[in-house]
Amino acid sequence: MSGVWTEKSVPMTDHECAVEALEEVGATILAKNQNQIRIRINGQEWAVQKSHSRYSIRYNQRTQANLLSWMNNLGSAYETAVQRKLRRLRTEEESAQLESEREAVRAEREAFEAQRQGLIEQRRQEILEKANTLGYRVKETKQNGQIRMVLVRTS
Amino acid sequence: MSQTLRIGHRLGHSEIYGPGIRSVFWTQGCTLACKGCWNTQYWPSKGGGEIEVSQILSELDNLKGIEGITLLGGEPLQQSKASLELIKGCKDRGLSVFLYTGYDPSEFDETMQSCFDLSDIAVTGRFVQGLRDTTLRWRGSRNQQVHFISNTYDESVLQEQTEVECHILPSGEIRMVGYAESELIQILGGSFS
Repeated sequence: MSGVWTEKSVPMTDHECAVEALEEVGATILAKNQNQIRIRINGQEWAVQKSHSRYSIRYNQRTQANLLSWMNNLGSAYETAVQRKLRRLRTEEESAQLESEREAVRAEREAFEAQRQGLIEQRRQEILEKANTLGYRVKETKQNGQIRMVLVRTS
Repeated sequence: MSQTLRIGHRLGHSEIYGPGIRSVFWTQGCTLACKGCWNTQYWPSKGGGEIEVSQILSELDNLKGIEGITLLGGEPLQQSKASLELIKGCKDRGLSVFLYTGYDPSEFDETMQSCFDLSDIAVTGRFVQGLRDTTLRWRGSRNQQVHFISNTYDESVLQEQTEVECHILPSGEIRMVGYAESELIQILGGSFS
């Protein structure tokens, strides 16, 4: 038996937005990859194929044409999904920018901390050397970020 | 109502102003004006900052690892009422008290005497520059007397030695306290208490 199979295309190009749009119009996603999204809607199963960068659906014009009303809203659902994705990408870009600024602050802080630690160690060494030269015993304690050095000489 | 003590400087933890680890308070204000005094910055009675004794005691409650407090100055007994309240509060908390005063016990009034009597150890007497001796423990000149007042400590803790304490702050700044000979002061520099 012959039939007339028609291809109806939908102006969808982005896979992620296409999936979102199909779900938005009530489809259940059965399987998906970059070339095909298999769905069930209103009790019928469909394969939404990607070719030439666009998605389309093939159907039997005689038996299935009246079952495609769900496609009427697919274009606007797809547009909504695209806008949503663009907003998300903008936020992610801003986050990336913020993260880059945070990283710069972090690096600056680490450099400052290294400098501070270096100064403390330098001071500590100076005291140790000079105390030794003058014949002091040195007892060292670290407490609350401070170094306490007790210099004692019994002679 | 709690007395107010004027304090010029304090150290949360120190090991050279008495036995063990002690919280040290340099009171602000002294009219004795010993020649050669190292702590002239604590002479003016208007300097430093005022703090209620109850507040100090509350802070001591939260300070871990100390055996007691040491009061020096300045002249703690020129704020004898506040010093007495602090000493009593410390004793109530099981903290020992080391008191420095430039006064001789013969000069004490009643309140000063109470401060002395309640302390565990006291060093008394003016600093005399001509008798300066940095090899003494806990005192600056040979005329100054160490008194072991309570039974908490005895003379066995008084091993004569030169003690200096350097604190390297988180900023890298150095604070030096104690009985440093001038060579050490010159070498280390920094602010000196």
